[in-house]
Formats: sequence, C-alpha cells, structure tokens
Amino acid sequence: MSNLNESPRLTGFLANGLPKLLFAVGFAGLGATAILWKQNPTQAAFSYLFSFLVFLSLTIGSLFFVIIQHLTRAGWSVVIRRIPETFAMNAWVMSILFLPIVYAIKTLYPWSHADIVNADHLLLGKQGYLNLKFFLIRAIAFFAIWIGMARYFYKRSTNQDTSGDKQLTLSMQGFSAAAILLFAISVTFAIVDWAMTLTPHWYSTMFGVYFFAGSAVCAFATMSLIALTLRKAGFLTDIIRIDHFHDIAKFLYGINIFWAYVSFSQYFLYWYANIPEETVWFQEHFFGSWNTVAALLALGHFFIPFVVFMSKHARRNLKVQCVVVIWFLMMHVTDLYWLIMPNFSHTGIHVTLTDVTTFFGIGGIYLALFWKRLASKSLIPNKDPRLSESLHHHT
Amino acid sequence: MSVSVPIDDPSKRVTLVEGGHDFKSVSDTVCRPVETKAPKWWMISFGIAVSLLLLILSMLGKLVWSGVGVWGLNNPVMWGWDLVGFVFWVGIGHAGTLISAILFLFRQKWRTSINRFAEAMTVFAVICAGTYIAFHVGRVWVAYYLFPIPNSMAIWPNFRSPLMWDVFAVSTYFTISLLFWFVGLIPDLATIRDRATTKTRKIWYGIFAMGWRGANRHWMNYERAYLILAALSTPLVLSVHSIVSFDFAVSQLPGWHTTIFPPYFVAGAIFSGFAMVVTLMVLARELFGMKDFMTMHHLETMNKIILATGTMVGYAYGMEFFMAWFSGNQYESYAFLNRAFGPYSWAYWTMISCNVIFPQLFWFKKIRRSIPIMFIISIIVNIGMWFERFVITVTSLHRDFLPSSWFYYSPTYVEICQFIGSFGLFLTFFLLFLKYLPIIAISEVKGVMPAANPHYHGEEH
Repeated sequence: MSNLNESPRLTGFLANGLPKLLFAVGFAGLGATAILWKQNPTQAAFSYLFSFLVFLSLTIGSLFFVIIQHLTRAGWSVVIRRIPETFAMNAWVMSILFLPIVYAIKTLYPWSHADIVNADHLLLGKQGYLNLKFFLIRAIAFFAIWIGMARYFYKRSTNQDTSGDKQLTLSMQGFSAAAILLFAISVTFAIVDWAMTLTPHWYSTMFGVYFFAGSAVCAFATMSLIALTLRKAGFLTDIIRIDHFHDIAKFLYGINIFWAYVSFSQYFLYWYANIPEETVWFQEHFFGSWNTVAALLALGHFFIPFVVFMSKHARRNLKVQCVVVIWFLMMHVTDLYWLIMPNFSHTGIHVTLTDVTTFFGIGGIYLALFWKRLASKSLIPNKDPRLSESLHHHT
Repeated sequence: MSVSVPIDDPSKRVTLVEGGHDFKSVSDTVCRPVETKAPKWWMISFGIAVSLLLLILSMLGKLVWSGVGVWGLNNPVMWGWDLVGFVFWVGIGHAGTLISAILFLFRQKWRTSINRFAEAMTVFAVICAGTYIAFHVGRVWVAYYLFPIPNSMAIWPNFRSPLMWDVFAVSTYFTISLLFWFVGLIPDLATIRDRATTKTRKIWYGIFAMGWRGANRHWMNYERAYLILAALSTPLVLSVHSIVSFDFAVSQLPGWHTTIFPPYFVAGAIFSGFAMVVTLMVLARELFGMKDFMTMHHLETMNKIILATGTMVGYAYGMEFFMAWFSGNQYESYAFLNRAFGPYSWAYWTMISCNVIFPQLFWFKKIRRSIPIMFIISIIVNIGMWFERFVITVTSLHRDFLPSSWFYYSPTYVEICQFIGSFGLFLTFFLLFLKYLPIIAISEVKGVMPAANPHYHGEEH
C-alpha cells in the first residue's frame, strides 16, 4: 500500500491567474450577451440555449463518469477522478445559468403560448406534461438531483483525502447504484424538455440516449484535455501516465462509436419508415447548409476519429491524443449547435455574434469555477483505497 | 480452505479461484468430466434432451411435409412463435460473446471461469435460432435463396430488407463466435491430449489441438488472434441484435416503429443471455463440483449485470409508453394501451413482472447470493424475455389498421412442440459439450490465479 504522503496541489497560473482571466472573459461574454439580447431576443435566446447545453453536457457526462467508476469499483481511474468530480460540482452554477432560459421560455418553446396550444389538438393533448408549472418543477427536480449527487460524491471523496476512511468508498459504491437510476431518468427528461420540445410535435424514444452519448464523449475528451494541460504545466506527470491516457482514449473511442450507433439508428429508422410527422425534424435539420453540417458530423464526429484513433500507437501518443480530443470537442459543440440552431435559423447555418458571446460567457464562468475548485483540494484522491492500484496501472 | 466472503475492504480484490488450488489441481478438476465415465445424471439428461431433439425433428418434418400452414399464423398475424423463437434464441446467444469479448476488453478477469461455458451456449443458441430462419421459409430445400447466390433466373434477395441483413448478421456472428470459441479451446484441447490415457482420446483431441505445443511463439499468435477476435466480436454483439430490432423498427407498425429499439434489444439480449448462463451455471458448478472456479462472486456479478440490463429494458418500456402518449399519435397510443389492457394483456403483464419487477430483487445482496432464488429468477427472466418478443410481435400485428382484419392468434401444437423441441437441440449440444470438452478455460483461469503472478512466493497475501 503506497499512499501519497503529501497531496499534490494546483499552484501558479492555473490556480490563480487563469480563473481570474476566465471570470473576466465570462462576465464580458455575458455582459455582451445582455446587450445583444435587447437587439434580437430570439437569436440570443437560442444561442444561449445552445451554449448552456454544451456546458450542461460536460457536467452531465462528468457526473456519469464518477458514478460509473464507483458502480464498477474501478481501480484504474482513481488518479483522474478528481477532474470529473470537480466538473460535476458545477451543476449548481448550471442551475443559476438556467435562469435566462426560464426568462426566455416564451421565446424558445412554442408550447408555452396558450394561443398556439389551443389551436393545435396535438399540443392540447400534451398539456398535461408540457405546461409552464410542471416544466419548472421538473427543472428544479433535475438540478436538485444533479447538485445533490455531485456533492455527495465530491464531499466524500475530498473528505477521504484527509481521513483516508475506507467506509467513504463503500458508501459511494452503495449510492452509485441508485445514482445511476436517478441519472438516467433525470438526463432523459431534461433533454426532452429543453431540446426536444423546441419542436413540440416531434418525438423520439432514443433522444435521451443520444444526448447522453454525446455528453459522455464530451466529458472524456475534456478530462483528457485537462489532464494534458496539467501535465504540460508540470503537475501529476508521474501520476497520470500514458497508461491512463490510453484508457481514457479507449473509452472515448468506444463511446464515440456508441454515439454514432445511436445517432445513426435514430436517423435511419425514421428515414426508412418515412412517416411525415417523424421525418419533419430531419427535414428541418437537413435543410440548406444544415445538410452540410449533418454530413460533417457523420464524417468528423464519427468517421475521421474512428480511423485516426483506431491504432494503439495513436492513442498512446499524447500529441495525437491532444489533437484528437480537441477535434472531438469541436465536433460535440457542432453536434449540439446542429441540434438547437435549426430551430431558429431555418434556412441554413448562420453563426452569429451571440453564439460566440454566450459560449464564452457561460464557458468563462464555468471553467473559472472549475479551476478554482480544482485548486482548492488535492489534485487526486490521495487516500483512496484503490489509489495504489491506479498508480501501478498498466495497459 | 478459504471461504467466500463479500469484500468489505475496497483496497483488496476478491480471489477468483477459491479452495486453495494449484495449477495441477485446476487441470485435474476441469478435465475430470472428460476423463471419467459419464455420471448417471448426465445419461438421464442426455436421454431427455435427445427425445426433445426428436420432437423438433418430427415437427420440422411435419412442417416441410405439409407447409407452414401447420403453424397457427393468420392474416394479419403473419409472424408468431417462429419469429418469437428466433429472437429468443438469438438473444440468449448474446451473453457468450459479451463475456468473451467486451469483458475481455474491459479487463474483467472474473470472466475467465465462465467464458468457455457462455461461448458454447452462444454457439448452440444461434444454431437453434438458425433452425427458425431456415424452416420459416417453408420450402426449406430452396433456403439457399436467403443468400445472394448468382443464378440463371437472376433472382436476388431484397437487399433493402432487414430480414436479408439478418442473414448476414447472424451468419457472421455465428462464424466469429465459433472461431472465438474454438481458438480459446486449442490450448485446453492440447492439455487433454497430453493427459490422455487412451489412444482414441489422444488422436481425436490431438487433431483438434492443431499441433499445439505451448511454445512461446504459439502463445504469442494465440494472444494476438484472441485480441483480434475480441475486437471483431465487440461490434457484432451490438450489430446482431440491432439488426434483429430493425426487422421490427423499420416498419411503420405502431409498437414496432420506435427509435430506441436497437439498444433496447441489445440490452434485452444480454439480459436473457446472462440469465441463461446463471441457470446453467448454477447446475453445472454443483454437478461437476466446480464451485471453486464458478464462485459465489461470479454468480453475484452476473446477477448484478442481470439487474442492470433488466433495468435498461425497463427504461425502454417506460420510454416507449411515455413517447406513445407524448407523440399524440392515436395509433401509437392505442397500440400500447392495447398491449396493456387488450386481449393479450396477460402476456404483457407476464412480461413486465418477469423482466422488470422480479429482477429488482437483485438489489438485495442476500438474494444476489442465494442459489435457489437466483436460479428461479434466472428462469423467470427468460420466460419474461420470451414473452417480450411475443408481446412485441403479436400484439402489434393482431390489431391491423382496419378493424375488419383484427384477429386473435393462437399457436398450434406444431409451433409449441417445435419450441419445446428447440430446447432439446440446445441441450443435446450443450450436454455433449459438458461431457467432452473442458467447460472452463483451464489456461485462462490459471492466468488469474495468484500463482501466475511472477512475484508469487507461495503464500496468500
């Protein structure tokens, strides 16, 4: 048993300068969004929703990682677990950043207008689910679940840093089974509420799984990128080793195939049956230059990484891994952009200033809080009972 | 002798082989059924299995003689127990490859004592499924038309049909599973050959051991082949049942056409496959005295996977129901209400209770580790999964879009006996496997024992 005696801490620019810089970027971005919101509220609201979902997916995906590591009693991942634990803790800031969406409900969601609903027998039928009050109650429930679960794991994991109490690991394992259930239900309905009901007539049973798969890709890619950044800055260089990066890359590769499988199945089954009320969504998302974006996703999100990352040598080469994970993140952002924006920009892709300001606004604050929190505790769960297994991990 | 205790210390991992075995005693125990006379229970079971095999053969004979009219299918219920039986067996055939391939890639070492067993089960289950594909065409002597063989009449199968993709998917899956199973068997067949005391045994096992000498080079090739086959099998585990789900989901039929079908079918297949492994493992470990390898830890882990996949299936049921309502599509909503409260509601509620409710008992550690209860639940799960396919197939068909073509479907004795007989086909193969092949991967199990660790000094840590 080799516990690290002193806990590795984040210091220097990443701990102090970077969060300040990111806060500045974030507030500037949100400030600019506020100004631009007045000019074109619809555009700003959709841009905001898109950016919100990008960082929500990172939070969700990270929470999933933490839960599944405990559920499977994983040993290899202990040294990188603090990164997703910290990301998941940002669930609270996402709940505050959700408020502008509440403010813009009428702009975003057609079902929130009584006159539209009353003129539409399908929407009248959905009123029991799609109404303002229940929508808000659900949103509160989702955030309560995510914040609660993130705190549960983070608190116990960081308490273990000082106490080394093995009981904490057992209690996290015990809770992880219930957590994965709560996770599946909350994520499914959250994304149904916030993205699928933008086109309230359309439906797909796969939708929750599709968003979840993309979130997991995003979380694994981000985890790798953060670990690479730490490594570049000279932190944890002997602790998070090539073997860990290799395993992250394998999971990333596998989950990306899962994303492709789910997205393809969802598209393919509707394409094949060709029923108008189901294909309407794809009509909208394949219209004009959106078609090019969709093709780019098939090629760039799935096919290119599928080929490039297939080789073990590519996965174990950190330079290649760095390029690939950045590519993955770009593709994930494109995926969500393609998911949300055709609801606003019907004729084709049209990147606007608010897309950029909301992205940097939310992203700046989100990442600033992440780095600040990461600096506040040990960079690894340094008294985790399976730390030794993780430190000696070989693939 | 160390006793199996649940681990409470997270810094330690469970021992996968109990009972203080060394390498020799592992070989001795696993090879014993091959090297000794068949026990009485085996002879009796084999007799029963062969008579059931004769049952399916006579039913298939009747089918070929008279035509598919001997089944109870009608218009609109044009698929019945045939499709249900096919999907049931293909589903069971999923556990083996999952255990061998996916758990191998996930470095789940506990798989080593059950993978051989599960792979054999996979191969035989897919054979059972194959009988349905071959014989549902009626004129079985022209079943080669299932394959795109160039012919003078220029008749081709419909490449746009998922039934066609099934032919490719299932035959690929069967080929790879068989290869995987066989490649894994080679070192163990060589072990039996080297231990052989009779000439016949030496020759026959020698032929199939393919000249294995355990040389370093042999092991290197073996490991590489194993890894490649694992990588090839992994997408196949997903693809086979995804394509089976396409048989339903590409159609426009309410209750069949829904986007969650592919992953939902895969989860269901793993669910039923694991349940079947548990059923057979509980018996085999008892009858062959292999409790030290197939430990309570193995069974508990399997039960956890059953709980997980069963809950995924429950999630899919829930999403289907929610979206049927949410879609506002009256046909879709009707299809689901009709499932739950229509003439086949008895089948629907059997499915729900067997697949979603009973596996939830596995939340309790005591139940996960209780042999009789897990045995019963594993059988319940497979009953439930059979009913799932029945509910999907029949309830969606029996209410066509025009009420004038609404019919109730009941199977004839031929369908029932054919399905019962398919267990005979499965068990005949399986019992032969239990008797004539090493049911545990000897070399792989040795690899996860403490003695395989280069730092091992002969005492327990």
